[in-house]
Amino acid sequence: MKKLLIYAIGACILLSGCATKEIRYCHNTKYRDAMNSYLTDEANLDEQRIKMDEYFSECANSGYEPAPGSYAHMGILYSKNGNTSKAFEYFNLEKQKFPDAAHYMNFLMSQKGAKNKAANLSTKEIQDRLNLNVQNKKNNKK
Amino acid sequence: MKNLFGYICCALCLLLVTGCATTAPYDYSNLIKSNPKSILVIMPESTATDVKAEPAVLSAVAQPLSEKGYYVLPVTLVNDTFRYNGIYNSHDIRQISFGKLYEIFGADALLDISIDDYSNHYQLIDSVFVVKVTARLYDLKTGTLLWTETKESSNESESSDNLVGSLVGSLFKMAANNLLDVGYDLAKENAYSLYYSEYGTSPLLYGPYSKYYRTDEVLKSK
Repeated sequence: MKKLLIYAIGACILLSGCATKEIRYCHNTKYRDAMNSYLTDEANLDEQRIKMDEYFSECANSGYEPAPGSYAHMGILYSKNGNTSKAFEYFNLEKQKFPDAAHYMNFLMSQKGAKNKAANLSTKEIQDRLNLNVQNKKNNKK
Repeated sequence: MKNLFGYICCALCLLLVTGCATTAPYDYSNLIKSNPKSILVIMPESTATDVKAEPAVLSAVAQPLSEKGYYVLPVTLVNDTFRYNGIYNSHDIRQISFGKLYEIFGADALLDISIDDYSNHYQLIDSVFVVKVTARLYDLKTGTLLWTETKESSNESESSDNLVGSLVGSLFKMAANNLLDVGYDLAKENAYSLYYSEYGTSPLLYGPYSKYYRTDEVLKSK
């Protein structure tokens, strides 16, 4: 069955004009709406956090990874409320999931003056703390 | 005589067809050489008067770019970093040197977006909202322009023979364009056509994280 699937996908890729797009991340519009709210100072921070919580739980149910930047975005929502340790947990998660973010995340965490207590936590430990429980059903095969 | 006419028609047709094929293909050599993995997106610079334009366009960028196979730095944090340092508008952000940007953000490339249009156009029997965006991708270490493209998106109505119906329809649409945030949805459609589309004059190449990396159609034609 798996072989059949691989052949089918292979055939599809070979066929020119067969634009079956690869879906890499969770396509929930809540993340974009949350970013837009933040940039326009529309909704208050609590409402924005609720929206992002909804985004993460819907992503967990969809089986797709939250999009790049979404963890970091949640982090600043906590950071703005003074909850630096929680913010850092999200920044570390962003770093671990997306190594390209490391330089910038480190820069941010060094600026705050607070200690990066989450630096030694594993991805799973951080996800458990943040109740993210991401089920990566579809993205495990690579 | 008739045959000659036929032959001339055929020749003209051939010319038209081959004429299409000889438009100069986009030169991707800089983009391929630079091979960026991560992209820093700064607040777009808009010539439009609508204040919603810049955030709408900025928030629409992350999804199509990451789907295309690049890491996009979190746009809200990036914008906040500028604000914390007293830089509040898109024009001022562009006065910062590439060297400084690289030092802080550590991204491979910079995406400079300019919003050429984000407004309602009142036409005779239609009211059309237009979002027109030009994107320029630069290597953040060398400042080389890697890629550029302009895309225009609109909610143009289909043409109709019913003039009265069209006039009435256009009045409703004019109101709707103003009340419902039509630009917001159009900005997303526009972003997809700019960054995720595989076709067009010069589509962005797939990034290193995409499984279609370097299999782009535009790289195959010679």
